[in-house]
Amino acid sequence: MEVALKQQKRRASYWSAAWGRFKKNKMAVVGLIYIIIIIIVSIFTPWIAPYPYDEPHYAHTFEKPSAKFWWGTDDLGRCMFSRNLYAMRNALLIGFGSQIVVLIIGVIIGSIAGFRGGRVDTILMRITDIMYAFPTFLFNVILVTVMGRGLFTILVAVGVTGWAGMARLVRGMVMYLKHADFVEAARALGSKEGYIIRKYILPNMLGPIIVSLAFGIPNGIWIESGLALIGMGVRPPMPSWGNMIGAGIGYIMAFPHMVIFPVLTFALTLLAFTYVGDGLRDALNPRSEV
Amino acid sequence: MGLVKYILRRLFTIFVSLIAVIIITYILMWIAPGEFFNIAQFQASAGKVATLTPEQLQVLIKGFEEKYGLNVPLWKQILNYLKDAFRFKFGPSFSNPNEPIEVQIARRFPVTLTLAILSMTLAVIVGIPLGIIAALKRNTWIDYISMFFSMIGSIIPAYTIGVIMVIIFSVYLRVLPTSGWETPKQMIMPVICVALGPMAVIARFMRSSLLDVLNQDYIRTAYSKGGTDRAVIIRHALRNSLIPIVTIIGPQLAFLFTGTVWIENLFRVPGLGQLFVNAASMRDYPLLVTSTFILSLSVMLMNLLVDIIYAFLDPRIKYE
Repeated sequence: MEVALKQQKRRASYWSAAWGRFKKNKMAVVGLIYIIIIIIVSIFTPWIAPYPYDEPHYAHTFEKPSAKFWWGTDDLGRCMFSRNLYAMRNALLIGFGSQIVVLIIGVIIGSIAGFRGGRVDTILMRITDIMYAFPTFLFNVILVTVMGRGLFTILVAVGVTGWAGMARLVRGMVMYLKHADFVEAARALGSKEGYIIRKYILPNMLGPIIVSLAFGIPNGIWIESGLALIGMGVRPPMPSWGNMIGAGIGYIMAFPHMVIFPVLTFALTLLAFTYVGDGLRDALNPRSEV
Repeated sequence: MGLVKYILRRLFTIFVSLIAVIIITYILMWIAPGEFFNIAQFQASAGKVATLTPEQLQVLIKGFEEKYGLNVPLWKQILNYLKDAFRFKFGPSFSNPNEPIEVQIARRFPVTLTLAILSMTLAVIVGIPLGIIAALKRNTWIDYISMFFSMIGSIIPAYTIGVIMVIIFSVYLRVLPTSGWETPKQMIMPVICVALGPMAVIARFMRSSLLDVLNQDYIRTAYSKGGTDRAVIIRHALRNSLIPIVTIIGPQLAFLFTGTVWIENLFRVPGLGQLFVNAASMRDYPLLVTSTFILSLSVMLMNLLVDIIYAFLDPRIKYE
C-alpha cells in the first residue's frame, strides 16, 4: 500500500517536472496553443465553415479575398477559407490516425524483437532495415493505388510504411530495460513478468514513444499532402492542402492567393507540431543533448 | 580482404531486398481491384475506336495477356519478371506498348541522377559551412538565424518551398521559368528545392558535431600548445567533426529521391519520378514495378557507396 502510494507520487512528479520544463520553451507552448485551437476548429469544421467545401459559386470565380469570401475563391468559385478548414481537418485526421497505426505496428514488432532476441530479432530487424532504407514514399503511392484514395486508406498507407523508426526505438529500449538494474532488482524480489512490464518497462518507454509520435504527426501530414499534390491523395472535391496547392500552381501567375493561403496554413501547422515535438523531447528526456 | 567481403555481403542484402520489393509490389497489384486490361486505354494506344463483339474482345484480351505475360499464375509472373529484371529487360508498358520500358528508363534516369547529384552537392557545399559558422558563432544572432532557416528547411516539404519560390522568382520577380529541364536556368529552382531538406539536416548535424569536437580534451591540448583559433579549428576540429556527417548523408539520399518525385512533377522535369507518378496514376503496372525497382536500386547502391566512403574516412570503423 505504502509502496504503491509512493510510486504514484514519484510518477506524478516526473510528469509535472516534465511539464515545468516544457513550459519554459516559449515556442513549444505557442505551438501547443495553436495545435489545440486547430483541433477544436477541426472538430467543429462543418459548423464553422461559412460554405460547404464543394459548393461552387460560378459568378465568383478567382475572387481575391473579400468580406464575403475571406480568403478568396478558386477556379470554381469555391470558398478558399472553408476548403482550407476541411483540408486542415483531413490533414489532422491522417496525421494522428497514421501515428496510431505506427504505434501499434512499431510497438508490436519492436517489443517482440526486443524480448525474444535471437533469430526472431534478427529476422524482424532485417525487415525493419529494408523498410528503413527503402524510399517509403514509393510504397505509399503503390498502396494508395491499390487500396483506393479514401481518407482511411491513406491513413493506413502512411502508417504501414512509417513504423520502422518506432520499431527500432522500442526494440532498443526493451533490450536496455529488460536487463536494467531496477528491473533485475524487481525480478530478484519475485515480481512477475507481467507486473514488471506494466510497472517498470512501459512507463519508462512512454517518454521516447510520445516524442517519436509527436514528430511522426507532421511527417504524416506532409506525406498526405505530397500524395494529394501528385494526384494520389483524397479524391476531389474533398480538399487537401496538397491538391489545393497542386490546383493553385496552374493559376499561380494570375491568382497567387489560391496558393498562398494553403501554403501558409500548411507550413504553420508543420512548424507548430515540430516546435511541440522539440519541446516534448527536451521535457521528457532531460539528458538528451542534440 | 575485409572490404571485398563486406561489399559482397551488402550486395547480397540489396539483392534480397530488391526481390522482396518486387514480390510485395506484385502481390499488391494483384490484390488491387479492377482488370489489368483496360479497353479505353488499349483503343487509345492502338489508335482504334471501334465497337467490338464479345468474341473479338476475348481475342483481344488474350493477345494482351500473352503480350504482357499475364496468362500464367502469379508466382510464375513474378519469377519471369525477376529473371528479366536482373538482366535489365522489362518488356513493354501498358501505356506505351511499342517502346520497351528499359528504353524509357534509360532516357529518364540521367535526368533524375543529375538532379540528385547536383542537389546533394549543393546541400553539402552549403550545409557544411553553414553548420561550421553556426557552431563557431554559437549563441549569436548568426547562429540563431542559420538554425532557424535550417529548421524551416527540414520541416517544410520541398514541394511547398518550391511553390513559394515559384511565387517569388517567377510571379513577382520574373527571373526564372516555372518548368522544364533544358537550360541551366530551368534547373536552378528544382535543384535548390531538392537540396534544401538535406542541406538543413546537414547544417544542424555539422553544428552539433563540431561543438562536440570543440569540447574534447585534445582540442584543449592543441590550444594550450599555443595553436591559434584558425590552426586548431582547421587542423584538429574540422577533420574529426566531418566524419559523422557522412553517416547522415546515407539516410538523406532516400529522402532526396522522394523529393525528386515531387519536384519533378512540380517543375515538369522529365525524370524517373515523373515516370513513376504517371505509371501509378494510369495504373500502368509493369511500369510501376519497374520504376519502383530502379528507384530503390539507386537508393540502396548509393547508401552502400556512402558506407564505403565512411569506412575509408574513419579507420576505426570495421566492415561488419
